[in-house]
Amino acid sequence: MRAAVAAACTLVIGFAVEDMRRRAVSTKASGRLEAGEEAQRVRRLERMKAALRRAQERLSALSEALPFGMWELDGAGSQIVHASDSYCQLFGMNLEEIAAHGWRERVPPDDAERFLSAWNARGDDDIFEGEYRVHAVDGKTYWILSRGMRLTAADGTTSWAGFSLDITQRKRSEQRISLLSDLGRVLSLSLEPQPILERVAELLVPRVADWCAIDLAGRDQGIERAVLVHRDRERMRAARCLTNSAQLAALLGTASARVIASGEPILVRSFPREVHQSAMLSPEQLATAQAFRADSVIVVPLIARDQTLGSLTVAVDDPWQRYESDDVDFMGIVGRRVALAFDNALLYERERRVADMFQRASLPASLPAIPGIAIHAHYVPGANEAQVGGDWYDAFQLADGRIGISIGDVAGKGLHAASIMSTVRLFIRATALEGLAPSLVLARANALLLNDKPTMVTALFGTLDPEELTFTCAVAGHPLPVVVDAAGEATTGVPVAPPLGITIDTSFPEQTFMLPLGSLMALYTDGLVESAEDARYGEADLVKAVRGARSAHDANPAEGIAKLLLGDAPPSDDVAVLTVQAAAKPLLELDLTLPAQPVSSRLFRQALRRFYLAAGVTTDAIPMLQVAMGEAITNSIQHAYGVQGGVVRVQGRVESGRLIVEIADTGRWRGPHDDGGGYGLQIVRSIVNDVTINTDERGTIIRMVHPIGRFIT
Amino acid sequence: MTNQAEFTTTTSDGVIVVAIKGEVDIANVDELRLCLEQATRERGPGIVVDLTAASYFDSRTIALLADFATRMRVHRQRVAVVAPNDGFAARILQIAGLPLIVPAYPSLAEALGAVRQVAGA
Repeated sequence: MRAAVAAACTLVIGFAVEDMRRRAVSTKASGRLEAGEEAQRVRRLERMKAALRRAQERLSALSEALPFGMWELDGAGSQIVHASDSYCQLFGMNLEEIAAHGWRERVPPDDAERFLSAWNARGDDDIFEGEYRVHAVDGKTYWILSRGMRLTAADGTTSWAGFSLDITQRKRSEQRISLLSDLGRVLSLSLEPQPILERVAELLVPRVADWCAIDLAGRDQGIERAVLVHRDRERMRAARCLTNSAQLAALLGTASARVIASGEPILVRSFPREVHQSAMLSPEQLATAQAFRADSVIVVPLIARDQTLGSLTVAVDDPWQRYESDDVDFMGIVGRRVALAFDNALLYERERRVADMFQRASLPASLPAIPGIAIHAHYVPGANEAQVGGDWYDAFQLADGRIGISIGDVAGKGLHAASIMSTVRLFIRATALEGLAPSLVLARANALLLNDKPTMVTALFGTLDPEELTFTCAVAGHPLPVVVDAAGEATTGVPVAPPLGITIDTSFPEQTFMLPLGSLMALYTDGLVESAEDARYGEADLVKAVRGARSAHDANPAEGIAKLLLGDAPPSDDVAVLTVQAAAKPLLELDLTLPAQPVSSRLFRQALRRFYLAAGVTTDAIPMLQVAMGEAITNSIQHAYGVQGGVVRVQGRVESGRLIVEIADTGRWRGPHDDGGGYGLQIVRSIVNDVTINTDERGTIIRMVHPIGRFIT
Repeated sequence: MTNQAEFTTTTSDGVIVVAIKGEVDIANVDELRLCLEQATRERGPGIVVDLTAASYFDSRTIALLADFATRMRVHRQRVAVVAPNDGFAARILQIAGLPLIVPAYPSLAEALGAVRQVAGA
């Protein structure tokens, strides 16, 4: 730059000297001066001439030494009167040819328009500056910065003089820096592997390529084309159909395969055009070849952590845009950055997938099924770009016939949160199975967390009593249940105790919720409502959603609530919802099928108890009736036990004041006395009037009928 | 793991008392069997099975008690059950006819007294 300024100064001095010379000559012609003075003047003039020559020589040398040297235009700025040789060499023409047609031929039309319109709009400015490209005679494209000054001679005539600089390198650097900065932004936009590649290709086309392909090294040395983007949308569509074709792979994949195998980039400076028209190609191949015509191609490897993940191909189909070796170096930098971001995304995705699998595996495989109560759950993982969180739900049968239900949320995300979640969920379950009250269960879980690794966990644990239709829960910093009854009235509460894992110096008081017939209770983690800007609106929306799900009679109300509140878009945080639905009518008809296993015996009795109560059997008659039913059920379980998929089905109904219970199994009836030492049938017949046993090849049905209100107590 | 019943074994003046609390059915009757067999290792005058707090049991438990009492007799040990009058246990034992094999008493004190008396005689 300093050289350019110096050149400009020299130029100005040069013109000044010229001006002096002109004046000297005109003075001489007047002939009014004396001889002595004349001789002195001539000597002075000679000295000036010599100085001028030196200046001109210096100017000329400088002009030639400059990348594209000097130029001079006439005053109107329409005629080139001088251009240095280097400028002419760029065009491969002489001054006259450049002036006549060459400039227009060698400067791309867009650039010519822009430059000339700026020139024509220069007005009275004394300085003009503009840039344009020249498709030079050497086959390369140069960026030229042209800067000129208006010169006004003493006589008032003006002209323009200036210099042209080769700023090709500067332009490239600018473009590359801007591209790298945009690349950094694009790479930070996504944590998903495929979108990263797509965004990179969209960035490179058309800024440095007419089309761009990214291939990934697959298993067994196969190569998969991950992305293909063409500047021309029509060709892009054509390519979509062909992306997976073997022909395309054959045409475009060979270079990628070589690069992936060697880890070394490839530059094809210029493709012979014939390649695209070869008679050796099938029509399909030809179409592809034409759509993905290229004059120049660079393929760089995508290497991250010493592993070649794939290759990045950029191509131009304009001979003036041909790539040079420094473009390969630049694309190498792009390739390394893309590869690292892509590899990070792969690692991230792997971790997320593991965490997701872990979380799903950590949730209960099935929920308890008891007549008259329907328990559903729904888990929604967080948005793809986020890690899996630590939300859980759980529901399980307790020894006394009640159902234990827990839900909670471990602070943080990822595997750490998921593993804590799993521990806490199982710890709550184990403690609850010991028969501890909800407040104690949470107190123990709190102690466990504080003793092991202090992590903040919000949790709710409660017991559902199917007979009383109540839910008694203790809460640690967790949202309380929302119960909506058959009339649409909503009940909820506020947590009074802090989350688990904060302080040992706290207790977890219990609260009881009524679950009247036809009501729906929803338990949830806060991801369900936190999208709302204001928590109060979140709660109002939640009540609305629970109300909606209650009256909609969805197959899974938990899922219904999640859909109503979250829509179809994945939530930012993961969400767990569990619902408890109380049947609209008392349990006057019982139909329960359970596996033929000893533990089912008590579950049947628990369901039967609720059925007796609904049917109007007095509580003092229930224990004896339970023994009669229990005998029959135990026999059925024994018969069907060990049978593949063996089940026992208990049905109960009330008909004209009589209680009818049928117990069916898939095994063979061996008489109700096997292990009862002969007491079984005797007991059943003493309690129930009418007992019939039907056995066929499918199994056995024992039917018991007795008038309600006439049971022995 | 059923924990639907608790079996507690204590000793009162050499007499072993096994108290049943909760429900005994096919799922946990074997637990009770083990518990009773454990109790026979103490060579006391006899064993009292307290059914006061048993909310459910069926013919399997009754058969187990009958069989257990028969075998104990061989070892010259007495077995008695506690079943309060008009309670569930008393009624079901009555229906099954167990008192013919195993004497039932309405209170623990009476059962203990009966076992000691017989053993002392």
